[in-house]
Amino acid sequence: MSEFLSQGGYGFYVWSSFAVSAAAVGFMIAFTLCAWRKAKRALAALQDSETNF
Amino acid sequence: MTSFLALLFRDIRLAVRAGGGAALALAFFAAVVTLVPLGVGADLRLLSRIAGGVLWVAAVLAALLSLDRLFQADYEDGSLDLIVLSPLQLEATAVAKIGAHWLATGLPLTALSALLAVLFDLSQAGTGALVLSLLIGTPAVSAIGAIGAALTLSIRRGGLILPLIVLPLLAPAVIFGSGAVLAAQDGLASGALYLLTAFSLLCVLLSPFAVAASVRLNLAT
Amino acid sequence: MSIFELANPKRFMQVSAVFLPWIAAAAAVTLAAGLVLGFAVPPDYQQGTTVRIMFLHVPAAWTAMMAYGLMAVASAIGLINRHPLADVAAKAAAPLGAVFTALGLVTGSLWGKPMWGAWWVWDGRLTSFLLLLFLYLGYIALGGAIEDENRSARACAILAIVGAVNLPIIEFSVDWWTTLHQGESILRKGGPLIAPVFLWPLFLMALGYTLLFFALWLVRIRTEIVNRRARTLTMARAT
Repeated sequence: MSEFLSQGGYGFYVWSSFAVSAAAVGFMIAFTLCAWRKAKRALAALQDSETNF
Repeated sequence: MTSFLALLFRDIRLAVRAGGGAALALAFFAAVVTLVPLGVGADLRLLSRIAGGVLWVAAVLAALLSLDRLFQADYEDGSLDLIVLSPLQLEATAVAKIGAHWLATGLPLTALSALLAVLFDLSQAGTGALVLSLLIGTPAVSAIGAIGAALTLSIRRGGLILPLIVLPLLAPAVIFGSGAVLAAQDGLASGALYLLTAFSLLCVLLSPFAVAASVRLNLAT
Repeated sequence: MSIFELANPKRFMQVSAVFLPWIAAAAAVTLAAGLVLGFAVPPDYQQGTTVRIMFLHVPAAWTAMMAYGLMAVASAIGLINRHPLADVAAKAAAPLGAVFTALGLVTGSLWGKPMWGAWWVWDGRLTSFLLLLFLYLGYIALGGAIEDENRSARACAILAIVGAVNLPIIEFSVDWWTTLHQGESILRKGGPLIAPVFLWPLFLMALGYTLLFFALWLVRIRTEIVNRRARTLTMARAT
């Protein structure tokens, strides 16, 4: 296990690359989905108020 | 043709009179170049080594400084609408604007660079290559810069975005220009000046179309 | 009423809603498989375990370049055909492309430190990638600074096309420059030949990143369409 973590001495570089990539991909997904939900909600609110008239 | 020349001379007059950008760009060029030895030390061997790069980068920055008003001033006081309405093709207008900017800024910068090269102990061959490369390369700076200026003409703080847009596109000019100086200093034959000429020609030929399209979209309602 | 609601976007929303879950699922599966395979490969005899960084670095770089290409194509279509959907697509690709470019740079740097002994080397590819990042940032800044939707899209399209014309020249000049300023000889990343065991995880990760990009791109386009619909509704309400 510790051998896997150390990655033959390059653990820091290998794992930081993975961490950075995971963070970037996670950020893109989270940001994109957040914007999508917000847009959906805003449109739904607009359309609701339409029917209220 | 007469309206083309009229526009060219009008722009040069506006640039060189007091408050126009040309003199300020030259002063900026000299000031930046003077700061470099203060930053990196007075070792003349080091300075002559980096002279080409420093002078090229400073020249590009100085040219950019005067570019953001290239269309913006005319846009704000409404004269751009009149220029667009005039019988002169918008592409030709772009050529006149680029030419005026080069004559008022690029050419004086080139001349001043020979003087500033002395501060860096640049060899005679190096100075020759520097002046020649700036003479060939500054039209590309004006041409690419004009695209950036036209794209940002309606943005209030356009001067801040302009460098970000234009500088990466000018990387080839800086590389070939300073490369030519370095090669000349070392007495090496290099194709840098030919490559710079090709780049400059391409920019000058193509950019009027991009400039015209950018002006058009900014004036369309 | 904008032409936006009459033209294809409605159809785009329907079609993309069908494909999106599949693309997203395929991205998740290929990325997971690529990661598992990537850790299963033996360490490279020259680069050791750092070869695993390649599986993250190279696909990110490829995706970043593909994103710029797609952005330029969408920009050209938007500019020539005046198709709003193409405008939206071009603008939606830029932030994703910028993140992939930055990711390629950071992982490249993390690969360079153990291999080259420096976080940054003025290598041709790294340098042109840094310039690509600036092109992306300039594009995003320009798009954000122009308020008018139409103007902003067309200005961005011109910039994207100018950048696409210039990119090969930048690449060439940077390559020329690195041969001029030859540093001490460095171990070439990746090497000329990649052993087949490394090809599979590389291929899977590249496919995974590409699919991920497409999935996120579609969601971003859909988001902008919804936003525009909301905007036209508010505008119609106001008058």
